[in-house]
Amino acid sequence: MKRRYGWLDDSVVERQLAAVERLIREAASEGGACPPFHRQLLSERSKRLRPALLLAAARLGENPPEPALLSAAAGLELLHEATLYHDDIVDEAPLRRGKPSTQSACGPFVAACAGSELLFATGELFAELPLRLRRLVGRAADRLCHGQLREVETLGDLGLTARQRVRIMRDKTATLFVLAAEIGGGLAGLDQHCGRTLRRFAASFGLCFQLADDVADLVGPRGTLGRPAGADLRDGVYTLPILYALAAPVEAAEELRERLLALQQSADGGALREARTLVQRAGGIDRARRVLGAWYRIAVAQLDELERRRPSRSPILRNLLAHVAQGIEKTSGRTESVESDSLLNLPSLVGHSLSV
Amino acid sequence: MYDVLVIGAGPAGCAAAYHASRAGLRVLIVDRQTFPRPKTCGDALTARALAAVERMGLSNLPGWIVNRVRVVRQGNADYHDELATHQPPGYGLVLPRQQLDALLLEQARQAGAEFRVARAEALTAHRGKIAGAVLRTETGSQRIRCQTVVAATGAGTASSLLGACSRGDRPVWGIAGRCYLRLRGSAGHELEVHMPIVNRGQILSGYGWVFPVSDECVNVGVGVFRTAKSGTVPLSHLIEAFVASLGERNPRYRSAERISPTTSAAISITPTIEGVAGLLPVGDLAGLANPFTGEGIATALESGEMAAKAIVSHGDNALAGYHATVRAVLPRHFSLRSVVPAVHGHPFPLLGRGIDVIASNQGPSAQALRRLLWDFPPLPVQASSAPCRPLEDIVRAVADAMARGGHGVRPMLAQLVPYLLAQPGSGFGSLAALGAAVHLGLGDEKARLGRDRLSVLVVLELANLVLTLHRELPQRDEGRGSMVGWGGKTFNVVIADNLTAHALRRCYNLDAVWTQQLGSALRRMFRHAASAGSCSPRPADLADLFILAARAGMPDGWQSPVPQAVRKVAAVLARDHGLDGGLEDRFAHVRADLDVCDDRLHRMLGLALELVAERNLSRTIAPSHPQTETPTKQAS
Repeated sequence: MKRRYGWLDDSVVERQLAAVERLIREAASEGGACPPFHRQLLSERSKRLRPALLLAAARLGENPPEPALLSAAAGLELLHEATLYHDDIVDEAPLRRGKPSTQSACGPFVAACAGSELLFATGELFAELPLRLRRLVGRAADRLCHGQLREVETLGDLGLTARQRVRIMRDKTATLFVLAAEIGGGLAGLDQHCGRTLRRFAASFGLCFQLADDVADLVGPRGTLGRPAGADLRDGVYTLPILYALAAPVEAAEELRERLLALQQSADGGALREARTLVQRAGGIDRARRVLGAWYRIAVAQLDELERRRPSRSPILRNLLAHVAQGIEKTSGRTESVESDSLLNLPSLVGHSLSV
Repeated sequence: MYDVLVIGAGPAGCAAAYHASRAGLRVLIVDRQTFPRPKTCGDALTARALAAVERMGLSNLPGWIVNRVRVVRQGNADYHDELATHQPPGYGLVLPRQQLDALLLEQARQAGAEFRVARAEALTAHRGKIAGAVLRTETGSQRIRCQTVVAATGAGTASSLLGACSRGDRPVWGIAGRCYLRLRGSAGHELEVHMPIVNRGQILSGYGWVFPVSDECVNVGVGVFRTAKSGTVPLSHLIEAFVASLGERNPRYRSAERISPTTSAAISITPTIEGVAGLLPVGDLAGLANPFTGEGIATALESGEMAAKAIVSHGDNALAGYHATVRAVLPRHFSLRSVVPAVHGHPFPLLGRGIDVIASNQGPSAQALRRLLWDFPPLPVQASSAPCRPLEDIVRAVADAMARGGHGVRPMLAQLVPYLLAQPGSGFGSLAALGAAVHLGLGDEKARLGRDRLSVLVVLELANLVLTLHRELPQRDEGRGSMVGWGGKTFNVVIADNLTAHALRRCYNLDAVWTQQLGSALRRMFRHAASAGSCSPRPADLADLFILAARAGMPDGWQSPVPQAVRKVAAVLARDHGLDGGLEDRFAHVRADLDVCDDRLHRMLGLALELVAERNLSRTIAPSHPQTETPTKQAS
């Protein structure tokens, strides 16, 4: 039988994730059958990356209290899933991971309440955490909110800068990975230096994850994504590859701008395909891949540092990173690219913005 | 020697002159132009402006009646707002300023004010306060002495004259221009507003307008808001492009005849009423135009009136009295002050997005936004009975905390909260009132409600508001709406999540036991709402919340179980939660039971029921935002 988390290659975390899965199932079903509005929560396709990172972080330390650890991991995943329920309402998304999204199957009102249910359920799951860590959860919730707001506010904004987009990615995506590192490391009593290194790893991990996703949206074949490609372009979410393309001093950039303005008026399939091609032609994809490579190398550097300080019994962090690398490679990028982008002075962006 | 010198004979100045004269003061009003004279403006009088004009004794103004606002949105369906729903008299009027201002000035003169054509060159001071001015006419200069000066010189004035009342920085301002067209065909009775205005691919904060002046003629113009960061805007080009686009869309405009040149003017929307002793700034000079629509006639008339009344009542101390009244009548202008530059400086201005939201749904969040964007009169405030006041204070504290919480993320969202709470059906306040009643009934009379306990009430009320907002969402996925607009759903979800994050933040900061209990009770409430697929959670689930609210009010170390009276009231409040009428009757039974016992707890519970039944909770929600207001001395 295929082990769901075999790829992590850590039997302790595998066992823990199974327990977390049970907690999530309990939260969804409350002892009975799983209601239709929580089917999405129990999807087999979900990788549980955030709980995995939380548990992996705890592995670096000493004897974290397991009940609190498992509850927190479950809570983190509920927090993440709840944002997906709500995002899908805003995006009017028909699919999530290849199946009907909650909002499409059950309606926006039910999806909103189901998401809010999960959000308040985290109160129960995080209650056992020490106050200091609970406060971090609160701050993370704020950042998620802020990221969502900024993304929505800047929909269709052709003047969005790369820096602004990275901030949105940091708030929307990196936040929960960093929180995972903070809670896992915090419960396991990780020392300050390792804690910081781990946070930086988590931040760069999260950003890589999001950027790979954004690139895939533009180049990826339909099947692998679980939703039609080019959704970002159509929705007015201008991701880094698109912004880079727009900023390129080439004719394709001007044409792209025209296409995007046209798409704002009506979602024409032909215009969408053209826009995707133009992003490629203007070099947006290539530049984004280089940045991805740079962030990936930063993440690797953090792992190397951690290894130096605390030789670990487990390859789990490397395997998590390898998972993202696979995602990168699927978009035909390479992870050993040559230069990094000067804009993205990641450590300072990360250190400054995510310090607690 | 005059009592009042009014500098500027536009609507603000005339209103001040009129009301001061009517009260028996000697008034001199001056303007550097002879009347009648043209004035660049949209020429539209809102219902609120008409009410103010009526208070100047002018009814039956000439002009073209309009009874709705039509917002034409590029790429989206039009949105209509009936003026009948705004305020009495329930319609608007379009009257060229040349005629309106002449009528207003004549009215002021009829009331006894003296008018002179003169330019005020400088202000004079005496004993530390402004006591007059130097006027220059064709024939020479003249010194005028007076007790108070009302400065009504408008938005575009160079401030050399008024260096005394420093305008400070203007982080945001507007420019607008217009021309008159004669159409072929009827102009209709609608105020047309067109959005967005686009300049080379960039959406500007502002709008184009077409206001019918007569059966054949229209006032067509464009107004945009600028911040220090915005570049220059080619206004005349925008107006030409706008007129051309009208022609493309509508045959009426295609062969329209231009009967006037295009002229432009400034709009000032940063409130600066500081003034100095002896000098009261009113109207556009004081930056009181509507910060979202730029409409300034209504507040010009009102501020002139308020200035006159302050002078009449307080004489030399008019300034303090004026400040107090303006802030009470126009609180929104001040609380929005820090928000407005962000709103207009943003590449996708709230104005357009706000209209999207209002146009696409009729729910509480859209109605709250509508109140905020248009200039609806402040919420009515009724006097409260003395025993109720401590209860109300606590409920108000909860409302304030709810509003403040959003401030850090987006001040605009924080501004919305009081309007959301005041919407009928929001169900705000029952939970807080119960907690307050228990606290006041059981606790030490002097003891304040602890911060943590208040937090519990805030969390509960926030969750209730979130559920109210969710109810606005459609039951079924309706397929794709427009892309670039916000639409109702986005706005709704974004606000709800913002409120939820605030609630969670507070929740996590409490004792672990409270965190757990609140999380548990609130998740159950949402789950049942999701299961029922309909609006109301079961009273049983709500009763849990009310018991938690009651527990929040119990004093530390309270060992006994929840008193029976409290349970009864909690059950009744849960049963009737969200109902909007007939509560007096529904509560009557329980109130009779409570009246039997005369201890403090029973009395407080009775008052809580009274408060909820009368829906007087809206008066606990005066939009007050300590961060954005600067403190002023209140008149005694």
